[in-house]
Amino acid sequence: MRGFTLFDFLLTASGPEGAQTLVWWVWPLLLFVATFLIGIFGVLAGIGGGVLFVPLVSSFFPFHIDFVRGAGLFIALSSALAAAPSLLRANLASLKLALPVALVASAFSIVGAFLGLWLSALNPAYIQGSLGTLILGVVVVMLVSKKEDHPNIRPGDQLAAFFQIGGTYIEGSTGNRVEWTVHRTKIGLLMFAVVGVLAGVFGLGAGWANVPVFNLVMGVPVKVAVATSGFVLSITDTTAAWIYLNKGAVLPILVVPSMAGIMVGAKIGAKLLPKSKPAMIRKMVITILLIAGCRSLFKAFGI
Amino acid sequence: MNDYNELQSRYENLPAQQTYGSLLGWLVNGGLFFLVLTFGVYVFGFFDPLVPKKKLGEVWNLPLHEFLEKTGAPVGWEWTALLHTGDYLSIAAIAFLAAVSMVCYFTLLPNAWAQKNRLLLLMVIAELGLFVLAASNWLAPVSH
Repeated sequence: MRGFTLFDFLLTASGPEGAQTLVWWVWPLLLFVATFLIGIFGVLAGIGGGVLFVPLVSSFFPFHIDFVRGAGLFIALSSALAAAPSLLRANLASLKLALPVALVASAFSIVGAFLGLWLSALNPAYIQGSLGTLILGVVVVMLVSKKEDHPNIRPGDQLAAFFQIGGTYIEGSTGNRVEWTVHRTKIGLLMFAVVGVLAGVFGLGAGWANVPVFNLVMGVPVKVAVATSGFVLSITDTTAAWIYLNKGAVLPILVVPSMAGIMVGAKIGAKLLPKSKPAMIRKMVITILLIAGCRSLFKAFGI
Repeated sequence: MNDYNELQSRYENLPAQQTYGSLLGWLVNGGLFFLVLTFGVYVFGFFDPLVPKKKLGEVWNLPLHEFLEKTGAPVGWEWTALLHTGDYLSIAAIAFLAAVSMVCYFTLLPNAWAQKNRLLLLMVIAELGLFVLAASNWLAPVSH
């Protein structure tokens, strides 16, 4: 059922007796290296690291998927927390937009976290299989979704007026003051309920879903969509993370090296970003996600 | 004219956003420092861990319920009684990072009250309620 992992490789390579004592510190080290690379590619491809972390680590490392999802939530949370302060101060992340969205998404992420742990207790293959399917869905979203810098808004959205959703920011490239508001708020909030469940079930940061919903559905300018997505994750993942923490599904030996790796990697990625070729990186990440998604599906079927 | 005024107020960012951002920055930096420090204490063996590091390879591939049975690891807030162990001292730092958004949300309350913004007040209280619900472990029986 478990398939062949890096763990099996190291066990084979180091002999049956010495392996257990040899490897306890090797795994955190390998995890740090892997998450460092994930951090770089996550930034360069414009997706959060969590969506790469869970399928890759659950497929190629020896840790049970319960602990990988717990760690996934914490790395998504820490990346979001690290980025949020400067984005809020620059008025790119919007508190007015985030408050109603985060309320819906975090309520449903609690439901998702319980659902995920329950499904995993029934049979981990349910989680592996649906994770594989979801990751392949993320690939489709990445292939088909387009971004609009400043979408046209149809005025008169009653929920947007009720929640007073809107804001102003200074566009760095032109120095212009940009005022924005949203439309289709009801559909957007419903979609964030689904996104919340998925974040809770799989321990994924849901930036890959948040940004298209903000930008394409609700008409948020792309910079505000990306920044507010990260800020919303810092709230949504907090609630789901507490469920995993209370259940005992958080191992420091996984979480801390992963958080360190992804944060250092993300900083390097941000430095490499101006010189990178986004199209090529995007193709690489899509290929990696395809492999990870298929691997999760195969694992679910015991292949 | 009313529509115009409504739109203009909609375009204004919440003043509390700046306070929230600054406080979050301080708390996150402090939390990361605490995390690195406690993990160093754990990995370099200054405090004995609950689950010996050499045994980790035998248990981290187990489903959660088997892991808990085999290691006697705590659930809920029981970890607070194990702060003398290296691994659960690190959990304290992880829990701190999971709590920083709650602290920042509290700072929104006086602002919403002063502005007489009932909607904002309600949303903040509801979110704080969700945080408390998730963190308190009161929902634990639901999952059994």
